Amino acid sequence: MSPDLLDLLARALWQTFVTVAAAGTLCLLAGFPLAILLTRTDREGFSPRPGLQRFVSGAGAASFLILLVALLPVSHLILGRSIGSWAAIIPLSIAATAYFARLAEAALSQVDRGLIDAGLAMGAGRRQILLQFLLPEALPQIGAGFMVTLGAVAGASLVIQALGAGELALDGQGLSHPAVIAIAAAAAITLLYFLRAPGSRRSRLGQGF
Amino acid sequence: MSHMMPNSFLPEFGYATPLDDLRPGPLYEDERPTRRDRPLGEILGLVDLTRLITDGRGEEVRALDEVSLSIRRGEILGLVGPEGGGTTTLLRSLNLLERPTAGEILYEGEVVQDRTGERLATLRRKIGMVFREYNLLSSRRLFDNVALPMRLAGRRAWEIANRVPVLLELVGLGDKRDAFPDQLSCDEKRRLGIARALALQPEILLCEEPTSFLAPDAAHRVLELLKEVNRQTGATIVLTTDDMSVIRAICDRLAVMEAGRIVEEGPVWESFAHPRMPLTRRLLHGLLPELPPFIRARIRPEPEGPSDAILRLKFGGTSAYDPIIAEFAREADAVFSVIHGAIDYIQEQPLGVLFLSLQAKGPEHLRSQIVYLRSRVLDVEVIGYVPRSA
Repeated sequence: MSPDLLDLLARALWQTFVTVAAAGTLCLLAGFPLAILLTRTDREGFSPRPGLQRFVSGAGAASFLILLVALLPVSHLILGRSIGSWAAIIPLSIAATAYFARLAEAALSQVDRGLIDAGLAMGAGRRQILLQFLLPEALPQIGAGFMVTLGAVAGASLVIQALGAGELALDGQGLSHPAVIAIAAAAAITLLYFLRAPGSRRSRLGQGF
Repeated sequence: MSHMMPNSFLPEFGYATPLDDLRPGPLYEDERPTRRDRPLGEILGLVDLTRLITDGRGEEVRALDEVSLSIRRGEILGLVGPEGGGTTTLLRSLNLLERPTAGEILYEGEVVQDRTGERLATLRRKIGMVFREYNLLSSRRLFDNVALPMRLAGRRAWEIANRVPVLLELVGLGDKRDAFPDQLSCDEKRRLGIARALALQPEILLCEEPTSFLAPDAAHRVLELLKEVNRQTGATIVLTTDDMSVIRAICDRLAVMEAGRIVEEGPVWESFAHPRMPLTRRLLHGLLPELPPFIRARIRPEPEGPSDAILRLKFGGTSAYDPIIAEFAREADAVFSVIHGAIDYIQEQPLGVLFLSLQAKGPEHLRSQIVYLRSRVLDVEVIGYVPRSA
């Protein structure tokens, strides 16, 4: 293997790592509050807001590629460029946030209603019930949801090569070398496996409990 | 609110006492009365409490139907009734987990059913609750489960560090403070629930079906613990159950509920001795001695030929210690045999049920014997007649 190819692989891996880490961080920062907001505006929550619910569902359901294209102007506005891995972070984060927020909300809503009763009976306020009862009890499930989200983000970031963001897969010129394709595919599969495996194992554990 | 002003603004009280802070201020026209005169010793009073709920088919149901009840400080009160009778709704109304549609709840004479926010939280901290489904936090250790109410109420760390081990010791979980709730058996979870409910030194302890999910000996231990808590702390206990043996074991008074109403209420001993409602009698089934079926099958409503009368006597209170039976034989010239019976003790009061097979010389003689017995015992019932075997 030529040093050029190794260099390409290392750079691509680094880019993937940066993209996933940045999108993951943003989705964690935005997704947590959004999940709490979703819980509160649920049909049976404190203050129902069906519009917000539909919007988030829509953002989560829209195919990532559509979102990517639709958000090109936004990326351009924020980062000054609409091409490259940095530009991909914006749509990636938004899709991941909506996805993660839904998973976290599901985890929160699965917490036994009796715990809310227990909190109320102790004289706890809404804030205390959220922070001391719902979040700690839902945390294992939320963690599993985050791992699943990271896996999805990594998967999506590989798709970005279609827009020429550079990545583990290929810049156009490499497509003609079978060895490049094989190595890139192996690296991508390995990366995805290790990102997704703990997520799915954790979530199964979480449900079994 | 006027009672929050300094005492000097209230010259009508004459002089300031520490109690003045607790008294309501003078009543102004635009102010709803917030206090009521209530019976002495009452800690919690319910006045015409009604709660309407919408059931699955969209119809309105009265979960509580004009319930009035006076709960006395320091007593153990049992709410007993079949499922759907309203006992759980009533219990959950006492700390306003469920809001009444109409009626009043008075805590120490103060109207509380409309409280919200911090004033509601203050009230709830005086009322501990033990849940049927435990409702423990699986992510926290036993110590932290018990400490949680204290932390939420802003108690100091040293107070928590001192009190939680005492509570865990009280409920017999002193050696498991670092375990998680999932590692506990059902009765240990129940006892942990009790420790948590006691964390804030409540005046009232609400127990939602404290013996459900428990094997008989575990249920017995939990009830003993509740009795001990009541004795040691003086906390008023209100519990729900569908089992009269729970009532018999620890309650001072009971309220029997059916279809959202209290149909019978009073000292436990009285309801066992004189159950007034058919439901109460049904609930008591199996707890008081009853004639075995093969004897019951031979009983006729009217005497057919030479017969023995089958009587059921109930005796209790002081009369249980009198030599009634011996005197009955001597003074009323009666010939009889005891065919079944037992004496039970309810809240340390004896309650006896005795079945007699009585040989009377004729209808007159039988009547005079019954009159004699009625003057000596709580209740005499002629169940029927059994033909005299040769």
